[in-house]
Amino acid sequence: MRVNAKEVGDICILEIEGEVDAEHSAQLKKAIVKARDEFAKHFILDLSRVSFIDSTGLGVLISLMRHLNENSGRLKLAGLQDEVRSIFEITRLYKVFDLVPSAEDALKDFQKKK
Amino acid sequence: MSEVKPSRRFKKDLSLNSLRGLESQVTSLLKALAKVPFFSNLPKGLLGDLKLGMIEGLSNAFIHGGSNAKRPAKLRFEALPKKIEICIEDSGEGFPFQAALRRRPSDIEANGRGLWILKNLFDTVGYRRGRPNRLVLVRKLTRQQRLDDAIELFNMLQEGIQQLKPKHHLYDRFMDFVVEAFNVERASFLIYDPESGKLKVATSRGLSPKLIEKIAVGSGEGVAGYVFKTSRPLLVNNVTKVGMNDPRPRRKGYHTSSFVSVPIIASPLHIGEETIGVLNLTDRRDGSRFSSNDLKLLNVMAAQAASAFRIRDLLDTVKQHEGLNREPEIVHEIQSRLLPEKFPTVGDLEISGHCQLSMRGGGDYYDVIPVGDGLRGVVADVSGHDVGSAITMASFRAIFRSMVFDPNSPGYLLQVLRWAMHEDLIKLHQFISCWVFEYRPSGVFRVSGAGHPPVMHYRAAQKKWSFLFSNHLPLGLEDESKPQNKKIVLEKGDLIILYTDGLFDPRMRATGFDKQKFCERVENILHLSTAELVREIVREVAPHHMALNNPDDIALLVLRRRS
Repeated sequence: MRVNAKEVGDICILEIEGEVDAEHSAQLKKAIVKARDEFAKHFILDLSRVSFIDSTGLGVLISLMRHLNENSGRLKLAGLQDEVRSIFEITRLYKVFDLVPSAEDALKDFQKKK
Repeated sequence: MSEVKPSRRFKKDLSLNSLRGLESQVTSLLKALAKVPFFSNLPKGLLGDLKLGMIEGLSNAFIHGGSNAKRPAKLRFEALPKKIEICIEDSGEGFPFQAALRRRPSDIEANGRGLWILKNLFDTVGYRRGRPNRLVLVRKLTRQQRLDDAIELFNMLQEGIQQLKPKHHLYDRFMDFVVEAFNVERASFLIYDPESGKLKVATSRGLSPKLIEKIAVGSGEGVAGYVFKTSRPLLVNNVTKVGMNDPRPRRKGYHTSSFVSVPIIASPLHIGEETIGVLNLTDRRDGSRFSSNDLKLLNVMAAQAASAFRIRDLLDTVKQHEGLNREPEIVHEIQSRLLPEKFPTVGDLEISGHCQLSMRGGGDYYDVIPVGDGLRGVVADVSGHDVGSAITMASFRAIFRSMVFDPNSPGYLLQVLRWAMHEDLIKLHQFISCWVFEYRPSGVFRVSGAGHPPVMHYRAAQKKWSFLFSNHLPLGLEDESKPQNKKIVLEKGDLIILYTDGLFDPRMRATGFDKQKFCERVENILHLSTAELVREIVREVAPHHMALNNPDDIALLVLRRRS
């Protein structure tokens, strides 16, 4: 799995590539904590190049969402592929997360609301 | 049942020392599965579910089950024609499975979701705590699920009919069944109202009373109107991707954009096939989308329901005419409607049939349906001569038609019919004798019979008749023997004749007609087409048959491989 962090003001865009599963979740968690501690108040996770996510990966995303909720931050998940979306549908987490078509759309949303 | 052939089975074991490379090993396993021809067309969604299930199970074995390099986690994957079974073993302490299985994590809990996911992906999730701990996941393949669900629906509707429940009760039972089977939040069954010319809600689930009142869909409007107009089932899985001329849902506010909609097609008397309404399902509780297999299953169920609703109408008709002695006429009409109007063409096979229905009514019936590049058919005789027999025959036809595409042998299909109809036949003190057959373009004719008169086979090259006798007892009697199939390879010019017992009513011997006379007559008219041959036989039998007091029905089906 590869994770690339971009900084746009207080927004962190994490571009993730590969599988977000038990093997790789720690790596994602590390990248999130680093961005959170350094600058980020809000997060956009670009999942357009994520081919698979399991319950461990979902756990990392839920932890991030909870942290941001407690600190007035927001999280948007962008560009989910069909396979990944179906896992959000099975777990009904599509109702909990803010899912947007692309990272660009997510950024526009953040900038509109500022 | 015959032994499973190696090509219909796939088995693979994995032993993992760590989580490293787990996803790629599981992906490779599924790629190997897809290379086996029998499993090459498994739906993408099913493969995704299997992948997620294996990764969840194996991750659990490492994170909670104590698996490591010294104590590897083991996976055994086995695909069979009707199910896929995954067994995962670890050597940890184990956990209280039932309590964990019942628990659903809240939306904000970061952990504890794995087992809940497995429960939603697999038909069975089992666990045996011990050394090693063993997690077993079973996913039935759709074909079997389809068979089971359709039979269950059939039995439920039959029960409603026998208890003479009002039609709205049948609608409600049907609606509850499909809502449960497809796990949806919203469903509606719309019926065409000839007065307003609109489709209106007969029953629904998940719609507000206000909305129900407002729904009046014109033919061609939205998804339901389109399905009604075209009489074709429809699956919409992405509203944003439908073409300009395709139907779109009329109403916003659904949770998902995944819809299935199927026509309810009935065969009323006098006016041929007619679509009486539309069944719509949307918003799956688990948020998943509908698949083409869902659409096929729903269509089978809609056909079952349409048949049950029609039978219920006929019972009302009988009730209205009580005392007018119209029962024989109604029985005759029901039977006539159920016979096929034309026969399919398969390779060099010629088929013709005739059913001589007596005015006192009975339960003789035949059916022939194209399946793949071959065909399947049935000849049957239901005991009795009243509306009950005709309704049993209609039920037999409905269940045969919904099961006919199952890839198993005619013998297996016969035993499924026995199982599906057994309780009803016991209650009604009825029996059904029948032959279920299959023909492949290669000339192979396979047949399985239950208490029915023998199949006649004329070998053109030898100019000889031979007879195949049925092995099973009639339906309505316990018969748990393995399905028996008989095989004949038809040569050019060979004839197969299937019939009901009225054709050789022993009383006709007095006027000079019996099986020997029949065979001689057929041998003399072999130059005719099967249609002409059937007409000639009917003409030959008619005077003998009409001379009988209370003559029985005669059903006759002739198949010939052209010279």
